[in-house]
Amino acid sequence: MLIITGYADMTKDIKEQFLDVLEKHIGIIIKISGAYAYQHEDRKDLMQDIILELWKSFKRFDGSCKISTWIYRISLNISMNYKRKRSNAFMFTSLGDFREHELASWIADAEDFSQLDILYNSIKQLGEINKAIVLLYLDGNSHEEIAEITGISKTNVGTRMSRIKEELKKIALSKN
Amino acid sequence: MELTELENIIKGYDKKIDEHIALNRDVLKRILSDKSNKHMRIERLKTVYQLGSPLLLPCLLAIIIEVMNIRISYTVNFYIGLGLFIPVFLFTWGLNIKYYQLIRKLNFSNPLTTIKKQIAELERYSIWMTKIRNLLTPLLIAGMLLIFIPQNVYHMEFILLLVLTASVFIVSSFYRNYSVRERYRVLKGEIKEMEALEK
Repeated sequence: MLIITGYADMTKDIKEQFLDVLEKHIGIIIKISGAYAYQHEDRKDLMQDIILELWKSFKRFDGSCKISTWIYRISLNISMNYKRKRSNAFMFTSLGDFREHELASWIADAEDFSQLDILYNSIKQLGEINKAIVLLYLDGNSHEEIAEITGISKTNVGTRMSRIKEELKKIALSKN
Repeated sequence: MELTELENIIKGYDKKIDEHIALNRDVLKRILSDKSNKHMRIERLKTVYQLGSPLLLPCLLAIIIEVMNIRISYTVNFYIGLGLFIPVFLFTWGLNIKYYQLIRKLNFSNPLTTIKKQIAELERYSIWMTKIRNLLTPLLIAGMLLIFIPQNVYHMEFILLLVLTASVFIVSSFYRNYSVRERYRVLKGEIKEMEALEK
C-alpha cells in the first residue's frame, strides 16, 4: 500500500500522485542529471532514466524516509551508474527510448540551463561520491540529511566536506 | 571557487526552475503508461532469454542429432559423456540464475554506499562466474564428444583433441588472470572504502 505523507490523496490515482511529487521535486532531477551527464543529449537521456526508475519504484515507497530523500537516492544511484549501464545492457536495461518530440513536450522550460555550467565545471573533477555530497550540500541539505541519503556516517560527511572545499579551491586556482 | 559562490548559483537556478519549469502532465502521463509498459515487456523478454538461453544448447544438439541422422549407441562412453555434460550444464545454468537473482535484488532507493557495494559484489560474482565457466567448458565439450562418438574414444587423435581444447581454455583463463586479479583488487578496495565511509 502506498503511504506517502502529504501525497496519499485517495481521490487521486497513483499516476496523479506521482506527477504531483515529480512536479514538486523536478529541480532535484534536473540538477543531478546535469552534474553527471555533460552532453545535452545525455542529460535528457539520464533524466528519462531517473523518471522511469522513480515511477517503477513509486508503488514500493513506504514512507520510511522523506520523499525528497527517496528522490535524491534514486536520482544519484541512477546517475552514478549511468555510464556503467551503457556498457552493460542486461544489468541496467536502457529505459531511455523516448522520442525527441516526446521529450521536448513533457517539460516546458523557458529558461536556458547553461548558467549552471559554471557549477558543473567546478565539480566535474570531483569523484562520484564527493560530487554527490557537494551537490546535496549546495542544495541545502544538512549533514544529517546527506548522511541519510548517501549512507555515509555524519562524521565522515563533515570530514569529506572540508576536503571538498579545499579541492574546489585548488581546482579554481588551477583554472585561473 | 568558494562554496558560497556555488550555493548562490544553485539558489538562483532553483528560483528559475520554480518560475519557468512546468511539466506537461498529459504528455508525461501517456509516456509513463506507454514507455513503462514497453519497458516491462522488454525486461520480461530479456529475462526469458537470459534464463532460457542455456537450454538452446541441448535443443541444438537434439536438432543436430535429428538432421544429421546420428545414431546414438548407449554405450558406457555415452553415459560417461552424459555424466559429464549434465552436472556441468546444470551448474553453469544455476550460476546464471543466481546472477539474475542478485541483479533483481538491486533497489535504487537504498543509500548510495549500499548500491555501490552491491554493484561491486555483482561485478566480482560475474568475473568469478566467467572464470568457472571457462574452466568447466572443456568438460562440457568432452561430455558432448563422448555422447556423439561412442566408439573407442581412447584413440590418440581424440585424446589430443581433448587436450588441445582444454589447453585453449586454460591458457586463455591464465592469460586473463592478471587483469582479473587487478579488477578484483580494485573492487575489493571499493567495497572496503564504502564500508569505511559508513562507519
